[in-house]
Amino acid sequence: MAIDFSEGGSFAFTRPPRRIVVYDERGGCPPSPANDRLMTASFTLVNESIVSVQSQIIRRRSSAQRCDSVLYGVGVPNVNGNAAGTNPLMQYLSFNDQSTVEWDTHYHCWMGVVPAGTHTFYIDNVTSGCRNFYGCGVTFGQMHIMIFE
Amino acid sequence: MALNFSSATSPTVRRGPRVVTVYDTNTGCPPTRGNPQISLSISVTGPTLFMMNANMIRLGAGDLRGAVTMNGVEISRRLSYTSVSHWQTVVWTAVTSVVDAGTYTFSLNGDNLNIWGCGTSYGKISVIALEI
Repeated sequence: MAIDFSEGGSFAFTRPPRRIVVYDERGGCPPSPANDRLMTASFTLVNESIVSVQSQIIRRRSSAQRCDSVLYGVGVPNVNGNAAGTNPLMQYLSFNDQSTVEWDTHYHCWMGVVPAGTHTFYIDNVTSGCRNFYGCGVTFGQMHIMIFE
Repeated sequence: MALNFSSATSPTVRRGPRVVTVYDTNTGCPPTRGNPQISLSISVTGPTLFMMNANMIRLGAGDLRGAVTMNGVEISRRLSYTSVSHWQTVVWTAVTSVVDAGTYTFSLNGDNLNIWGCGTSYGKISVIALEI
């Protein structure tokens, strides 16, 4: 059955759409960070809003192994509808199938309803031993956020 | 039709945006199934622009491809290659042209079957509808 939007739903624009872009500004190719967090964006919403997040970051693979990264949202409902705490919104699963050095791109995407308040979206490495494999500057790491409030 | 954002408080749109997400609720890793792997349908009453993104993991070797269609027309196609059999995430994104009122079905289809998906954490399709 088709989802019927003819009733208009409960959302209305209260302000024009806004866009946030965060770049991977860590130095190094790839850098050697102190923690697993790769890119972070925080913003405050006055009203419940629809948010679209898209990100990309490259990963240097130097051995045959699995390296996954996850898009998280703080106070953002995930598949279980839980808006409390920090929720995984999308996991990018990636195996290296060769022992030679290769670069690969990780993509993340999420769309959904976000309650009013201050929220943080971030990309994290979640595989032990892969922390130092991500990123090569602003050209190869970005997070784009569209906010319809 | 251009959106008029000249007013900070009253942009000229017929309706506020709406979003819908359908997760891959099939059991199995990957499940045995035909196309579409997942789909969702939306009815709109006037000119609308859709923003779509989707993701799903696949298990296999070689050049494995999939596409998202809107009413049967491809709007995003992706290739995923691994030389040996591995899981790999594939992501599709698209912004459509402005379409007329009607019912629109977004479907994620694989060129190969029985290689896609592993539950809700690894497969979904989301659409934002902007009725203008």
